[in-house]
Amino acid sequence: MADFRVPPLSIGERLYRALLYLYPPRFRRAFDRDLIEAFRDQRRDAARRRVPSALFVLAIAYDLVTQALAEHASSLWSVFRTRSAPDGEESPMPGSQRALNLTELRLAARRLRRVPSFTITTVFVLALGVGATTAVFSVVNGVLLRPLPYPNPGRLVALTHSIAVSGVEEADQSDASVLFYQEHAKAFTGIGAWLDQDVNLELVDGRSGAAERVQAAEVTSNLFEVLGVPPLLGRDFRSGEDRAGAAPIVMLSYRFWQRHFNGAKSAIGKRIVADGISREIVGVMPQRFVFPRSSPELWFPMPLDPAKASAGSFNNRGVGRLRDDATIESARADLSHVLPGLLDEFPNGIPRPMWEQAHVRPVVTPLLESIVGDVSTLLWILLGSVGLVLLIACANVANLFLVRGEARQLELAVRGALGSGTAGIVAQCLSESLVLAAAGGVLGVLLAFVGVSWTAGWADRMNVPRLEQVSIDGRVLVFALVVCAVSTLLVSLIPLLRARRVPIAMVLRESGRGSTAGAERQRTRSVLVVAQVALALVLVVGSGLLGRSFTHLRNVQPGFDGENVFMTRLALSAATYPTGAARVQFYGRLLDQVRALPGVREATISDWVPLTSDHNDVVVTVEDHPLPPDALPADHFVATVDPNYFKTMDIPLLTGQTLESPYRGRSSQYAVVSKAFADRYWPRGSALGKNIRAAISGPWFTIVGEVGNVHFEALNKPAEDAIYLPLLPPDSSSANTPSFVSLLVRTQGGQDVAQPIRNIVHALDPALPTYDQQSLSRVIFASSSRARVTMLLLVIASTLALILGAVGLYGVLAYGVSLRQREIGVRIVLGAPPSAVSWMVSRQALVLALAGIAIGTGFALAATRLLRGLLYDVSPTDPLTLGATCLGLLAMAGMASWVPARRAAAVDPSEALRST
Amino acid sequence: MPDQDSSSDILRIRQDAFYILLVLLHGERHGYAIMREARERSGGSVVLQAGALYRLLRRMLDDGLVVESQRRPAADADDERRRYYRVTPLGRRAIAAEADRMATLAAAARAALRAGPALA
Repeated sequence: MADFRVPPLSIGERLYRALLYLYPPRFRRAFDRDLIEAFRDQRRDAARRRVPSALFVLAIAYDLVTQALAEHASSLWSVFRTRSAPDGEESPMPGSQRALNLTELRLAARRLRRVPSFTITTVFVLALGVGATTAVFSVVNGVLLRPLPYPNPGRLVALTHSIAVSGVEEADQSDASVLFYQEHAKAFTGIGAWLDQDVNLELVDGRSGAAERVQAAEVTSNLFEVLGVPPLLGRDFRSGEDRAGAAPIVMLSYRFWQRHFNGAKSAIGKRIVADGISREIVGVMPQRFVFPRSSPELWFPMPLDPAKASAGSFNNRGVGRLRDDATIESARADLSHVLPGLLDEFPNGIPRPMWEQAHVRPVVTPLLESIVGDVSTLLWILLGSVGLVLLIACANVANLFLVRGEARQLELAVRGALGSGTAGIVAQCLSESLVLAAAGGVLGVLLAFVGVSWTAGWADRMNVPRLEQVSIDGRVLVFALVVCAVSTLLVSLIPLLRARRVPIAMVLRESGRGSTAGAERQRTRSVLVVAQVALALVLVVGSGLLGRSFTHLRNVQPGFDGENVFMTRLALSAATYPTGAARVQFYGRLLDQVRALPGVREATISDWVPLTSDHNDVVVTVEDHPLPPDALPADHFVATVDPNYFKTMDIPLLTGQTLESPYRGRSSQYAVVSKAFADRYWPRGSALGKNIRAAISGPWFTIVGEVGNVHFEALNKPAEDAIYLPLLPPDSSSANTPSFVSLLVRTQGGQDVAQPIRNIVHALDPALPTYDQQSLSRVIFASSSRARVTMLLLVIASTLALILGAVGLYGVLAYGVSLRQREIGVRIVLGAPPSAVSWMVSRQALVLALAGIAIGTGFALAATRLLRGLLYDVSPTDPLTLGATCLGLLAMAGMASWVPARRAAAVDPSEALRST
Repeated sequence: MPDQDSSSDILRIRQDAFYILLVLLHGERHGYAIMREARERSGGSVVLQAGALYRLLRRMLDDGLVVESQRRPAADADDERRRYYRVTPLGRRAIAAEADRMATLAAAARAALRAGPALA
């Protein structure tokens, strides 16, 4: 703050300074320094308040554009006023002036009707630009900008912890931490939590339907109050109902209520049976209620038990509502202040030294930010790409305007000479632009209405959250209006400025000859073309990088063969299968019957299907890697699998043996590990015979085999260290036998086994639903869908950019040739060979393209840094992509110059010299 | 400019302009300080961006409600790149008249609200 030297101009500031030219000159001259000062202050302020830079840019751009337009309008208005009221008396809003403007507009429309190709092209480009950007913006708006649908959403925060355990960075809330914070934290009016916990729905109001798997969540009794949404019907959970032993109750989502009760109010007080527990319905949530992140249809109170609550299992998602006087920072400080007392009250679940080792620290994030997460970069990039295409399209249309301006120069000059002041001419041009903008804008918004569902469809495939919020609202319409206004200004302003600058005498003199004024226009057009090439280059480099990244991603071997493998999920209810033995017995019978199906080659059961949302990480102790006392062991992925898993999934056995039959009699003590796990602990020796155990105490497992690496979480993350424990131990009293599993079936030739499997499960247990049935090749495909869709969208954008760029370049060259016919004719007469004439034109194309490439490369290097998080195994400055793009654009320039060059070489000198 | 007659014109100042004048009544300010204080004084309801602010200032300068200040505040707080603005006597009169008008309105509304149930 103490430094008062003038800082060097940043890029943002320089851009802002350039954009000030949007204002009328008088206003700009009067206030440009103040505006830049204010911009600087605002930016400093925004940085201090951590306003997202995208929002800041949007606010500034919106202000700039709307105010510039308004100032233009009022300066024009004052021109009219001074003309109609020369004695300076201010006339109060005369209707005559509105009539004047309407007439002007009507005349403009009539003039435009006389040039249909120009009008249609302009309106089409504007509509497309407005439509596409608006559609993408509606997604940005719904997902990123629109506040969460709760009262006073800015006060809602997500509560998590940062944690220093190898393999984990973030932890949510444990039962103990929720109870503890609810009791001690002072910065909040309420702290709630929930745990997604899907259930098998067995009976509704005594009726048993087909077994159904329903999304559900366990919540603290105050959660809806914290979110600020009361139930539509019945009552909210009451405090004390989220304790172990409280009466079992449930709240329904609006959809569930409609589906099962047809919206009958009598549903309150009736009962449903889910996961073997009969619960009384106490309330129904409103139709518009949206739960953060997931979309449960049933909510149960959590069975919290203060006496037994574990401090160390961070399974619950926490959400808090800040007090009015609290900030994110003060809330974090508040939680940090109280957290050390947690273990004094809740000593269960984790030994104190280990807790201290883990460096648990509270983290407070705005709820919206925690929900949207990493999607925001992606969406802004998409919006930016569409915006670039729009700019390129505008440059093309501006060129059309220039040509038209050329044709009308004489008319304007004469009007000027006859006393129609600058204002009249400007008004005429502006009114034409207005008519075009209105037509383009209306059409664009219509397109956007169509495009929104389409765009939301794309976004869905990219796993974008909050899509239910996407629609065209006031803000989207304002955005469309601004886009429309900016693009109209862009396409009409440059020709307008040119029109005002050319002295009348010159126009009249040149009207028959066309060289100097034409040449100057040609320069403007060339600048536009260079800009187009530069912008196109940015887009093409971006899509090229994503394309390369995607190819790399596609070449990643997942580590298993998903071809012809079909998965079916099952969730055994604890009531029907209370023991591990019961579950194991069920799995055994199921597998026997499934294996007997025609076409089935292998079948197995696992609690973790790679590349799905399955996840299970556990601290793992390695016997011959003793840790310092009280140190926390590293986290590793642990999958519990049936012995036949590796064969079914085609995961290669590298050394030793899998969990197959030789060990069947005593396999409970044996484990298989991935190569990555073996390399991590025994980089030089063999893992075989070593002992490991999940968690800190418990039985040791001896490693008997080492299998190939598998990408469990994502293809773009390194293959993980993983441990496979046997699902079917002979002494199957173990309570650890998972009850949420997937049945994996490898078929001969990809037969559809979905229905036969459903039949088998139904015959074994009619109350057990099957869900999420799909082929593993689909799972693999879906895991890279975000990368694929992003790449596709950018490829579409860059293709459009290339085509538009080529058209723009072609237009300039062709027009240049027509302007220089006479000169070319002279050259040919003087003996220039056709190849030299062609080269003259092509050289111009290459010079323009090279200039665009040079500028574009600079932009691209700055812009592609934004892509970093989306790229896999490709540097944002990948020289190959950049080089190929430059060559591609040069080739495009060559192609665009082909026809004009040939036309130049074919100029008939006698014709050319006679015609002028 | 005929004061008597134009005062009714100037009376109808927009809320944004009202807050700008209000801020300037507290002393001379430069543009960004006006933006910040207007936001604070209005409890966040008047959020002016730079372009909007200077357009309003331009109009108020034209109308003679404010002028660019020649004097500077204390030397150490001053930043010579900035331009400062202050209220003219006409501006003072305008805001006083506007305040009166609002007070009349408020009084009328309160009276009507008190009498409300009887009317309904």
